[in-house]
Amino acid sequence: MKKIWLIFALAVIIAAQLTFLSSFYSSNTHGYVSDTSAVVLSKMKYAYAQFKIHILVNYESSVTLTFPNGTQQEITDHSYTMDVFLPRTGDFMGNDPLGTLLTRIPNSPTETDYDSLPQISLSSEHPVDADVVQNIPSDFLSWYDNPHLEFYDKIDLYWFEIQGNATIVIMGSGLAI
Amino acid sequence: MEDALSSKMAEFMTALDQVKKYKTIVTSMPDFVLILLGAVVAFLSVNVSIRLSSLFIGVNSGLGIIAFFLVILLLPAGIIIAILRVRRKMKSVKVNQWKSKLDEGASGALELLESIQWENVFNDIRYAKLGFVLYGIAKILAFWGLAVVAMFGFNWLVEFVLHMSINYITILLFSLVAVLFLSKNDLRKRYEQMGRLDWLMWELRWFESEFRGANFEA
Repeated sequence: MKKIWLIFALAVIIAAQLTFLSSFYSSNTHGYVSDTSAVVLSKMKYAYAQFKIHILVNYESSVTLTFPNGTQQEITDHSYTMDVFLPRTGDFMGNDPLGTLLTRIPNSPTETDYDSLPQISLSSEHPVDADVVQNIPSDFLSWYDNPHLEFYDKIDLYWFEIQGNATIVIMGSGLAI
Repeated sequence: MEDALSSKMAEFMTALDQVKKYKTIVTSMPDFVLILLGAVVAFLSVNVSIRLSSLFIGVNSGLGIIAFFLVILLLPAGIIIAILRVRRKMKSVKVNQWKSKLDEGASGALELLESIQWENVFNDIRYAKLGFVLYGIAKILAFWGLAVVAMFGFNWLVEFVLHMSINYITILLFSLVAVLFLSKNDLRKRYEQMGRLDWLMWELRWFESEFRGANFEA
């Protein structure tokens, strides 16, 4: 009889573990970039996210990274890896799927739907997202600097610009609780 | 006539020893399930720990991959330990205890025959059949789970290297088909064994009625 209870307890533990495991998400992407491109990392506010970004620079060339605060970093090594951790900054506010994958890149924020964030695809089923956007227009990132976008109370964004030729591989993982 | 009785009796007693062994499968099923569930809990616990540490501590991806493959070994280890446990219990069943009695000749054979509690024997055979079916199902499920985990590992590798992924339903179905195909000999053996147990049951029933009739006439 005791064994039956032990089996029941283990089954409950397994159910709890599987439920917790279903809170983990991943978002992987890769792409070859040239000229001016951007890496856009995003997540729902209630999720933790960790991104490992590998930048493979073409031989005998270099790339320059420009971060949101204006800092620039030149990479001359063939392989460069950086980690970005985005902490949880808010609570789950109900099931409100956010947008769909938008593949177009607008020329200016006023040209298309103002509330759309190009390249970002976040929802409760996909709370962590990583994108490599190639050949961005000069004012592309101004979109992400606009604090009045209505999505900003639900999502967190991090981006940086890449100038040069390189292959970018991003492996993102997240926990939404 | 005496030799025929002794040899027939030896055949029956050997079959009944086999039934006793199969019956232990039912009694060792809770241990079998406990070991399997324990292995699954250990596998999931380590899996959660790896994911949490890679998220919050940022474990080196190479170490993460090694840990992931080590974790996958937990499930086969659990299945092997569970199967070995059942086999050990089956082996621990005392058999051939009737041999010395049968060596006495026809009188020993008749004594053995009289000591058989037929209802218990029939119940044991029913239990043995149940144990056989349950063990077969549990074994297939365990190997299926293992195949699914291995396929997910393979899928993860394909996703990592080729950036392509296999549909989850395909993984589940393919694993099931592969396990059923690889277990086909075991399934056939199990099916034949069930047939043999059924045959034994009928033969014993016939033997019992003959024996009772003979007893009555005597």
